[in-house]
Formats: sequence, structure tokens, C-alpha cells
Amino acid sequence: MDEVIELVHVCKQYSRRCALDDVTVTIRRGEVIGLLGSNGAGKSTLLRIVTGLVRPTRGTMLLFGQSPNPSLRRRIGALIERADAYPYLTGAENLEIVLRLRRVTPTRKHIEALLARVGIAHAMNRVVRTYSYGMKQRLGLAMALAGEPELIILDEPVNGLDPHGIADVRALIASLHREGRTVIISSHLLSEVELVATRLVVLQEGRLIADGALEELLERTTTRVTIETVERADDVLAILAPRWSVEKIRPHAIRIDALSVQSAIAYLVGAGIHLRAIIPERSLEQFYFATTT
Amino acid sequence: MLQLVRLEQWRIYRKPRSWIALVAIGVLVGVVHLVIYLQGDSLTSIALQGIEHVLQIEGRYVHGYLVAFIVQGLLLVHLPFLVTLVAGDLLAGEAAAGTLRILFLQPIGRRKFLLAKVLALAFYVASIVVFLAMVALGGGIVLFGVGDLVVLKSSGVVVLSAGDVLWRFGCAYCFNWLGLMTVALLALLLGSFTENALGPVIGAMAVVIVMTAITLLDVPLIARLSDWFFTTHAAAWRMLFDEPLPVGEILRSAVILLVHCIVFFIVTALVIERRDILT
Repeated sequence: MDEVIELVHVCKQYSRRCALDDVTVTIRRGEVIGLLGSNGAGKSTLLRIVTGLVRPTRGTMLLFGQSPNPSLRRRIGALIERADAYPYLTGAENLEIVLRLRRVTPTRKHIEALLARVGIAHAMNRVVRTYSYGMKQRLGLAMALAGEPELIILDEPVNGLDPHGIADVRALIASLHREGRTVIISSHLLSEVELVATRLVVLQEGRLIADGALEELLERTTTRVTIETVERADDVLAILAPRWSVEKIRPHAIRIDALSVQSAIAYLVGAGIHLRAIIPERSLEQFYFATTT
Repeated sequence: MLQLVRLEQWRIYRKPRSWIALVAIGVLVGVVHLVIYLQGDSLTSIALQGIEHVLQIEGRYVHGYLVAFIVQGLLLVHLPFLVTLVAGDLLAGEAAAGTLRILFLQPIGRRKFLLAKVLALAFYVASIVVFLAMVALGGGIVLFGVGDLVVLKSSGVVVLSAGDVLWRFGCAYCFNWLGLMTVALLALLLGSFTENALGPVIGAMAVVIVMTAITLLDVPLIARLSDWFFTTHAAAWRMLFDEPLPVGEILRSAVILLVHCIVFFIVTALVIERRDILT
């Protein structure tokens, strides 16, 4: 069974507001899904439905090929929106509660290892009330990883983290991916999502508007290409400028429109220019804005 | 389930507010003990409410049993308030803090969580009642000794021999526990609708105060209505100090309280089962 989550025509209505509208999506084992969308697009609602916090108004959902039931949540670890914890307990005690609820006998070594993985082992015996926002976020990540879940859902996991923290989360997701676990990450930091996701799911006003492999989707929005040459950019510019709109961006690199690139390359090769690299300029940000506006 | 209950208990006793009740009981009972110890027999006329002219009392009137009986009456409103402080926090407080989400993300059904919370709450309420018994009755006996208990009733005066009192206190404390559990479960129910821990405390106390006030109105229709109020029956522990013992009435009150508890629990379970966790 490769399907981890199967949502079929799922809708969620909050009184008059439709938070999720007829969403059908399948998520497979080992994927790292970047869940994107503006505020109110339905990302959190989708994640809450998957984790059983919210019931869909219509539609069906299968988790690991089965109808959702509490015991399946042992296979899911989640950090949803804020990393909350009992403020009067220590980080280690909070984690111990989660481990016990997941029927894992918590040893001190186990707790320490989990907290070390998210970088707060040094604060494990401090009450959470004294934690900074970033430390709470890291504790939330540790809670999501407790019990070795197969599916890890991270809703805005880098919120409140400093650059080191963001890099740590990136490395953590990469390691989870290497371990073959399925990860869903929802974030407004598109550059971060671009670095870790293998597939994108984009929601807008509760509807699914894009779903596909990251490379494939980015390809669609590539508008410009950088061509690096052995020869000087000024020489290349002199050859191409009469026919195409070209700009020099570095001493040995020019930028050209993606639609013209094929014929321009053929022309340059014919003119004896030596190509060093052809780099399509694409970014998740470009794709995101092109898709959602 | 045992594991869940233990975790709930652990969290309840780790919360500073859970100790407010015990400290408050300790202070209140301590003050009562101190006043009685210092004022001694001059309080007798206050306790007898002016009927000392028609009664001839020989021997010691103020002793541990009377002190415990007075304390029991004094804390009629305070104890429910102290209990709702914790009960109201169990769902609403956790929802507000976001920890209810953490719990519901775990591989355990919501009804199981609720049952564990109720059992832990029952244990907490029992610990309050046991503590009250220890300081009020136990402390009273140590400081003031024992004697025949003279209880004033609207129908007259009941005199219970010293050897016939202790079991009545035991039953009264059990009855108290049931009454407090009813209020606690009401607070828990109100907490299932809200994400503000203060709401269920205020709501439950408002219900207790309004029901008690309505009961005081001397109107036949209201009398029939108030006969079903849990507040009316929570005070039925007093009947345990009647002679002869009105067993039927006491059992009826206990059953009515128990039915309230069951209804509050079932409604809370239905609400929690269907509730979307958005915090």
C-alpha cells in the first residue's frame, strides 16, 4: 500500500464559509509535500482533517488505506500551527506524556535523543514556561517525531525560528525523507519549501489549484534562461541582439527569454560559441504567484 | 485507561491552581479552629442561635464533631467554587492553551480521554473531601475532643450520642463528594463548549447560585421545580444527622445527583466527540 492519504471530494463548511471545497488528492509513501496557499486557503483545515482534529462535512478520506480511526494516529506525527505544551511541565515531561500516549515506554535516553534531534536537549529539564517561542517550536517538532511516525505533518514549522533553526528544520526534513518517511510541510516561506519538497499541492480559497512534482510545476513557469559561455558576454550579445531580446548579466553570462532559448542556442553553436551552462531561471515564488494570481 | 488516568492525575496535581483548594480549605478550617479555640464557650450562644433559654445543656457542647459540622455548612459555596477551578480547566483550559489539540493528535479516542479526565477529576474531588475530613473532623477531634452532637434543625433539635456520629460524618463526606462531582461535571460540560477556562467556572457557579436563590423563593411551583435541582440535593448530607434517619429521602437525593452526573457526562461526551478542534 503506497497511498498514505487519499482524500476524495472532501469539503469542509464552517457555518457559511467553505474552508475546503471538493478537494481530491492522494499522497504516497516517501513524498515530501509542500502544501501552499495564501492565508485562509484551507491548508490548516486540510491538515486538521487528516489528523482527525476536524471532521469533513462531505467526502471520504483514507489513511494508510483504511478509514480513519484513533489507532491510525500512532502512524502520524503532527505539529499543527502553534507548538503548544503544558507550561508548568518541563520539556522532557511534555515529551514523556506524548510518548506514553503513543504507547512508547519513555526512557531518559530516548527523550534526550529526541530533544537533541531538534536542538533543545540542554533545556529538557526547564519548565516550558521559560522557553522562547523558537524553543517551543522545536519541542513541538520533537512531539511530532515521538513514536517514529510514518507520516509527519508540519504546519508552519519554521515559524519563530532563527536562521539556524530554519536550517535545522530543513536538515531534519531532508533526513526524514532519506528515512523514507512521508512529510507534509505547509509554510509561507516558499524558498524553504522549494528546498525540501518533492511535490507541491496548492490550495486557493479552499480549492485545489495545482498538484504535481516540484520540478514539473516549476518547469511550467520558467520564463527566462541564463546561458553561460566561454566567450565574453559582450561578444555573445553582439551575435544575438539583432534577433532576440537579450541582456548581459555577468561577464560570461547572458539572459534570454525561455521561448527563444532553443533557436538562440542553435544559432550560437552555429556561430562557434562554446556553451558552459544553460540554467533555466525558475523559482517557487514565481510559480506560486503565477498560479495564485 | 489506567495509564491515561494516571497522566491526567499527574497533570492535575502539577498545576498550581489545583492546590488552591487544599490551601483554602486548610486556611478556612484553621481560622475556624483558631476562633473556636480562642473564643471557646462564648460561641455556644451563637451556635445555639438563642435557644439556650429553652434548653438545658450539660457538659461540653463545643467539640470536634460540632466544629466539623459547622465547617461542613460553612464551605457549602466555597467547595464547589474550588472544584470548578480545576474542572473548568480540564477541557476549556486545555483548549485555550492548545494542549487539547496535542492530546487529540494522539492515537486515543476522545471518549477515552474524557473518561480519563472524569476519573482523574473524581480522584481529585475525593482528595479534597478527604483533606477536608482530615483537617475539619480529624483536627477538630484532636483540638477539641469529642462529645454528643447537638444539631439545630428547623423542626427542632437533634441530639446524637458521640458513638453514633462518626459513621454519619463518613456518609456525609461521601455525599459531599457526589455533590461536588455534580458541580465539577457541570463545569466540565460548560468547558466543552468554550475555549476560555474562566467561562465554565463562572457558568457553573452562576448555575449553583441561581438554583440556590430560586429554591429560597417560597412558591409552590418553584418548590416542585427545585425538587429536581442538584443544588437542593447536594445539601441533603444534612439529613444524615437527622434522627430517625430518612433513608428513602437520602437515597433519592443521591440518585438524583447521580443522574445529573451521568447526564452531564453523556452530553459532554457527545459535544467533545463532534467538536472541531480549531485552537
